[in-house]
Amino acid sequence: MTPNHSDSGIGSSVSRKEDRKVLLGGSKGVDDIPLSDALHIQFIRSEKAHATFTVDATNARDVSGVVAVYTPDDIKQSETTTPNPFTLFSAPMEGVPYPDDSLRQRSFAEDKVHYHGEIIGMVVAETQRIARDALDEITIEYDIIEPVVTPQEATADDAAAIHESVPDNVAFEGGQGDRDLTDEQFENAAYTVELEKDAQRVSPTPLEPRAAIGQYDEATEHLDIIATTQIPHAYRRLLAQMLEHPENKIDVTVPDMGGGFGARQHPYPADVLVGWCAVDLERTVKWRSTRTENQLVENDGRGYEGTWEIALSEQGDILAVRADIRYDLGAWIARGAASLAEAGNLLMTGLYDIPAAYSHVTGIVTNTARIDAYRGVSATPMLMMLERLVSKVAKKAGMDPAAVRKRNFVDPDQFPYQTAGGAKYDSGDYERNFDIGLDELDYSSLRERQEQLREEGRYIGIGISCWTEVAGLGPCGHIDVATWGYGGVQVHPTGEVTVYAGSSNHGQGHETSLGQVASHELGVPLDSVTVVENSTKEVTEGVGTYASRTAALTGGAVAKSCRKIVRKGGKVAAHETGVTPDVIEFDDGTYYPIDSPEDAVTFSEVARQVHMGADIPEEMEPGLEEQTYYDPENCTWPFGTHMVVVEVDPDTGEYDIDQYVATEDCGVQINPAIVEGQIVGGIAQGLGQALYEEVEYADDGTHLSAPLRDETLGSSGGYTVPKAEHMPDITIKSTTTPSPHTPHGAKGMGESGTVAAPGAIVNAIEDAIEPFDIDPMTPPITPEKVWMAINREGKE
Amino acid sequence: MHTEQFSYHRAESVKHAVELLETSDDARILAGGQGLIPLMKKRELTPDALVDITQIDELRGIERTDDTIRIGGLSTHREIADSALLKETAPVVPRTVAHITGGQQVHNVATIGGNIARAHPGYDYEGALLSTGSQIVVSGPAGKQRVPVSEFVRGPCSTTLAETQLVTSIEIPVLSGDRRGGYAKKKEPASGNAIVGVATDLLFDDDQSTLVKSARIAVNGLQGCAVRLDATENRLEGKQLTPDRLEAAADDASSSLDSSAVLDNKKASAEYRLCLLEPQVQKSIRQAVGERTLYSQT
Amino acid sequence: MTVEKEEVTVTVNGESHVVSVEPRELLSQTLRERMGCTEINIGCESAICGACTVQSDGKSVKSCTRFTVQADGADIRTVSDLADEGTLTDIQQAFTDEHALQCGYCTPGIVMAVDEYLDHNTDPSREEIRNEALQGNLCRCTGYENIVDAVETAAEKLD
Repeated sequence: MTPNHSDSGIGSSVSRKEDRKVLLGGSKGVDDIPLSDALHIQFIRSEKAHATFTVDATNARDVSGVVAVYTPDDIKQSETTTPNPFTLFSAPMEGVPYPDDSLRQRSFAEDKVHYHGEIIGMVVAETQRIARDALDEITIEYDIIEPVVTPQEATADDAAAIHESVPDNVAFEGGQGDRDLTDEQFENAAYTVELEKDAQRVSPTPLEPRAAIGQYDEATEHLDIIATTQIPHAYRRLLAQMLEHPENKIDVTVPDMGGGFGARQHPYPADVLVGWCAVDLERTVKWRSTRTENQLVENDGRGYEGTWEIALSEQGDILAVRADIRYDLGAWIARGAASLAEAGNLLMTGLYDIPAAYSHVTGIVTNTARIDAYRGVSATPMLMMLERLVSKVAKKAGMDPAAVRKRNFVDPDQFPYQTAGGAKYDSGDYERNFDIGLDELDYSSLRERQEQLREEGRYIGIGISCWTEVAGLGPCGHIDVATWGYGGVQVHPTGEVTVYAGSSNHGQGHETSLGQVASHELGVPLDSVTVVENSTKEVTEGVGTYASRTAALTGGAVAKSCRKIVRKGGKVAAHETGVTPDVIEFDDGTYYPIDSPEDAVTFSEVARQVHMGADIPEEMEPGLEEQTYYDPENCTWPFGTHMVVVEVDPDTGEYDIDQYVATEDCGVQINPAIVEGQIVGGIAQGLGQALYEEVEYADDGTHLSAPLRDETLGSSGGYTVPKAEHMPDITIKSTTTPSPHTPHGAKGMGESGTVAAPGAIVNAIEDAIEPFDIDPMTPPITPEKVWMAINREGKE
Repeated sequence: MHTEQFSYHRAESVKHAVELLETSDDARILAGGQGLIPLMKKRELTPDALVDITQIDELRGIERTDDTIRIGGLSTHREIADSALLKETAPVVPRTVAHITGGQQVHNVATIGGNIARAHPGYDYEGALLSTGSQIVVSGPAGKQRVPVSEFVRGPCSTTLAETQLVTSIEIPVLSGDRRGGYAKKKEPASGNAIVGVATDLLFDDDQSTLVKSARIAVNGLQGCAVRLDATENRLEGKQLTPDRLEAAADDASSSLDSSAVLDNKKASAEYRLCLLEPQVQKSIRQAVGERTLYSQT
Repeated sequence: MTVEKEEVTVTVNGESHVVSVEPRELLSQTLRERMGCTEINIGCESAICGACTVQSDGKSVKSCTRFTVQADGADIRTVSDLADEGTLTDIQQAFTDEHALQCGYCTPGIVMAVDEYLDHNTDPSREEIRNEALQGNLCRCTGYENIVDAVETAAEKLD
C-alpha cells in the first residue's frame, strides 16, 4: 500500500483550523470558564528570600467573604493529607545519583522560606477581590537568614546552607564524556580559546498568566482540575502521587492556553494546593495569577555559568571541547531541572565531528525561584558557547569561521553518528544546509564588503550559529518517566475521523498538523478530521508537548494508528471484492484490487461496513479505531544554520540587524507555514536572550523582574519581552533530511530559534567590532555594553 | 490586579475639582489614568479618593489666543499629534508624541496634563515644553497660577503642584516666523521610556531660510528634570545653519551641562547617557530642519 | 472602608447594560466577569501587553487600565463584534492567511488595535506597522513577522 496524498496532507501549508475561533473571540482559557459558585484563592507568598517566619492570619479570617485561611499549620493539621514533596523526572546524568531528598520541592514553606515568592499559605474567599484585600490583613514576621543569590555566593566558604542536609549547597555534580582524552587533545592543540559565561536567567513569560481550577465531588471523590499545563496526563499522575489521591479519580483538562514554552509542565506548588484545597473544602476553587505572581514563581530558564573551551589543530580540525559549568537550580530542584544537565551535555559537540569532549556540571541551589525547562533548555547555552568558540578559535588561527565549520561538519555518510558527548544523531546533511545560508548572504562578497566598509569607518559583522537539539524525546527507558508518543484514531461510520492526541496544543497548531497527518494517511479531507487533545477525560493517555516531540512522536503515533486502520480496512475491502488482502491497493481514500481497479471500495464505505460488523471477515472485530503508544528507536536531531548581519555604530554601541537568514532542516515538514512560524517565534525569544532579557535579583534576593514595564525610578525599566519594533525581517530557507526512524521522517522543530539565535547574534556583534580588540561580550548585549567594550578604559 | 478601595468623584468644573481635592486627605486626579492605574493595581499608590476630571469641558481643546497656544490639560496624546494648529505653531510638541510609549491605545486616552504632572524623567513632554518656553497653568484653592515648566518640575516624579491643585492647561508662546520642531529619543527597551530625549524648537523667517532666528533645545531623561542645552543653542542662534555648524552644535551639547547631575542607573550609566546626547541632538535638529537645504559655507 | 457603588451605563457589542460597580472595578473586569467578554485577555499589570484592547467609541484602549466608571456612556466593541455573521473581516482573514497567530492570547487585542490603526494609516510601511500599529501590544509566540505581513495584506485589501 502506498501513502496517500491530498491537498491538505503532509507538506501542505494549509491555514490553521484553530484560527477562526480565536479571531471570532471564542477562545476559552482557564480564567474564561464560567463557574457558578467557585471560591477564589490568593496565595500568601514570602516577601523575603531566606528567612524563618511566623504568620498571623487572625484579621484575615475575620474579613467578610473570606471562607478559609490556611497557614502552614492549618494545612498540616487538616484531615486532608498534606501534599508529598515533588519528584524528579530523572537523575542529573548517567552515573550521578538522585540529589538529596530534602531538595525536592515542597508545596508550601512550613517555617522557613527559601526564595522570594514561596507559598506560605492561602486565603480562600467568595471573590478574588475579597481574597486579595484579605491578603493585606495578614502579618508575617521574618527572621532573616543571609541569602545566597548566585551560585558563586552559594558555594563561598561561609555561605549559609539553604537546606540543612546539603550544607555546601551543591545538589549534584558529574561529568559526561572522556575527560582524559579531552585533556590530552587540549595539550596537543595548536590553538585553544576559553570563554566565560554568566548565568543569565531568562523568563519564559507565556502571555497568559498561570491559572488553575479544582472541582471536587464529595460523592464520587472525583477531582477535576482545569489548568495551564503542557502535559495533562503526566500532570495528573504527579498530582495523584502528591495528593495521595487515586489517579483514576483525577481528571485534568487544559482549555485554550496562552503559550507554554516549557515552563508549563508539571504542577507547581500553587497547582497542587488548588487541588488540595478543593478536596479539603469539597468545593470548586479557582486561582488565577497576576503577571507579577507568574513571573515571581514560574521557572526561569538557563542558569548556566562557567567556562567553555575549544581546541583546534594547526590544520583547522576541532580536536576537543570542554566545559566546566555551575548550574543555578534555584532554591529547590524542579522536576525537570536535573535532567537538563545531561540534555545539554549531549549537545556539546554540535554539528561537528569532534573526537573528544567533556562537560562537568555542578548543580547549585540558591535563594531564588527554580530553574527548569524553557524552550531551548540547556541546548541554548551549550550551543551558544560552542558556536562562539568555533568563531573565535577560527579567527585566532587566521581562518574563516565559515570555512572551519565546513571542514568540521559530520559528513552525511557518518550517520547514525555517535558524538563524543554521548548522543547518537539520526541523520544530517549539514554542509548542504550551511551552503544555502552562505549563498543567501553572498558570504564571500559580504566579507569583502566588510573590509571596505571598515576603511570608511563603518562596522558590519557576520554571525553564524549552527544548531541541533534533542527533539522527539525519546526512546523509553532512558529517563524515569514514560516518553512514548500517544495517538488514537477513530473512524466514524460516516468516514469522518477523530484523532485523540496525547500531546498539548497551545499555539503549535496541532489541530491542523495532526489533522494533516490523518488526512494524508487515510486519504480523507482535512475538514473531515477532528483532533481532540489536552484532556485526560477525552484522550486515553499522553506524555504531553515538550522537547519538540509532537511532530515526530504524536504525529508518528497518529500515523501508525492510521496505518493499522488502513490495513484493517484493506482486509474488509479484500473480503468485499473477493481477493486476498495482499493485492489490495489503497490510494487517496479508495481501496481496489491491483488487477481490477474498477472494483474500488471507498474508505467511508469500508468504515460503515466495519462499524456495522456485517459482512466483514469472520475473525475480525467490528469497529474502526486504533491506538498507538509509539516508542521511537532514537530521538530526532534536526539542525540548521542561522546567519546574521549587523551593523554597529561604534560611537554609541547601537546596532541594527540588517539581515537574518535561518536555514532549517527538521526532516519532513508536515505544515511548512507552521514550521516557519515556530522558527521565527523561537528567534524572537533567542534574540531576547541575546540582546534584552535577564532576570534580575537584588542582593537580598528580592526578585526584580516581575513587571514587563516598570516605571520605578532607578529600575531597569522592566523585563523586556521583545516588541515588534525590536525584530528584524527574517528569511527562512530549508533543506529536508528525513529522520530514518520516524513514520514520516519528521523530526520536530520547536526550539531551533531559541537555540541558534543567541550565538548567531552575539557572533555578529563581536565580529562587527573585532577591529576594536574587544573583550568577549556577555549577553544580553545592550548597546551600552558594546559601547563600553569599544571604549573601555586603558585600551590603546 | 485589584486596587484598594477608593471613593470616586466626578468633577463638574475646575472649581468643583478643587473643592473635591480639598475635602479629601488623600485624593488623586483621574484623567487618562495610564500612569496612575498601573500603580494603583500594584497597590503602590492607595489614594482614598479619585477625582475624575474628564467631564470638565474647560480642560479640553487646543486653541490660539493672540500670542499663546493653549492646550487643555485633558488633551490626549492623539489629539496633540493630530493637531494642525500645533503642527504649524509649535511642531516640536506633536513630534514628541510619536515617541511616547504604550501605543495608540495609550495615546487615545493619556493626557498632556497627566503626563507633565507625573514628571517622570522617562516621559517625553517635558523637553518639548521646556524648549517652547511653555507655562503650566494650574488651578487650586488660591486660583489660577502660571508656572514655567522649568519651575514646575522639581525633580524625578516631583512637581510644585500642591495636593489641592490640578494642571488645567499648557500655554505655549507663539513666535512669528517659520517654526520647526524635532524630537529624537533613545528608548529603554522594556518601558519605552526615554534614556535621552532631545526636543528642538527652531525658528526661521520662512521655509527657505537657513538663518536660525532662535534655537531652543532641551533634553529630558538625561537628568532628573529636563534641561536646556545652552551651548548648542548659542552655536545656532542668529547663525546661518550649515552642516558643519549643526554638527559642531551637537558636539557641544554636553559642554554647558552639569555632568554631575546626569542620571546614573540601571537603564543607562551617566557616561553612556552623555555619549548618546550628541547623536540624539543631531537627529533632533535634523528632524527640525527637515527638507531645507543646508549649504556649507566656504 | 465601605464605598458607594456607581451606576454605569455601557453599550457592549451593540447591547446596552446598566451595571452597579465598585469604583475600583476595571473595565476589563466588568467586560469579562459581567458581560462574558472573555475574548479580552489579561497578560500584564503594567499597561504594556495590550491583550485587553477593546475599542471605546471607536478608539482602541487597554481595558485593564480603565475603571468602569470612566466608561459611563461609552460604546465598547470587542473582537467578537467584528465579523459579519461569521464572515471574517479583511484583517481577521489576513491573520489566518498569513499564520499571524499561534497561541492566540494576544490576537483579539492586536486585531482591535490594528482595526483602528488602519483607519488612520491606510498604507503603512513595515516599519510603521512595527513601530506604530503594534507599539501597544506584545506577542510571545510569533516573533511578529507574520503579524506584520497580515497587517500589510489587510491594508492592501482595505485600500
